[in-house]
Amino acid sequence: MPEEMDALKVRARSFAEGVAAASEFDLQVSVASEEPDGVTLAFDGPDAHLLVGRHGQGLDALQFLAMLVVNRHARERLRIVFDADRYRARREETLVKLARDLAAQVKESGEEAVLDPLSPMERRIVHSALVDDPAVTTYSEGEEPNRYIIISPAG
Amino acid sequence: MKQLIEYLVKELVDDPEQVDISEVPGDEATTYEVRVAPDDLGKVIGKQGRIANALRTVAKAAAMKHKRKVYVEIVAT
Repeated sequence: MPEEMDALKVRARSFAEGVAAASEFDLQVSVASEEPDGVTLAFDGPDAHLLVGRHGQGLDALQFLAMLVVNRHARERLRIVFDADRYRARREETLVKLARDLAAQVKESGEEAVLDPLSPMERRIVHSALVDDPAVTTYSEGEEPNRYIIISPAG
Repeated sequence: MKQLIEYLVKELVDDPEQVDISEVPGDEATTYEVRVAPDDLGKVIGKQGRIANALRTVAKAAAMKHKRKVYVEIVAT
């Protein structure tokens, strides 16, 4: 039901605007990207970095709360991602580069590479960065929040 | 900070009118005591305290603006 998703997206944005206003920080909210069942909302401005927290934990917590609030009475589920001060965007660039560098090492050495634990969202970035590389496979091991990715030679 | 916590808590509960946040200043940290209607307690605590922990994490990040330590406590009334 696209109408319900549209309504949830409006709700997500107003939640983000509410956070910006209540924080009394200098923040602007914008829609960074949109998918049929998801939205990425970006906080920018001089105080935006204050929402990031240690290793992005502030953003993870805020988007967890947003998903609870926005999807509470909904039949469908909108995925909400918050970014602030381009933290997620920069982190994605870093993770994609790391994934490709490690994949190159794995191909050369024939040995597996083990990454540090990552959140489910960040693991997805690493998996999809290498999904089209036939020479390596990626899989996760361990339990949350210490689940980590292993890149291994294919075959 | 108080306003931010109040906003988030009011969004989470069914009965926002019963939400009360009190700010308790301390030497090293400020404590925010969160009071909600008894039926709403689960909505601000969550399974294994996940919601309360998310509130704490957001508050902790935002408190960096004033380099203050903050505690968020859910108080049963």
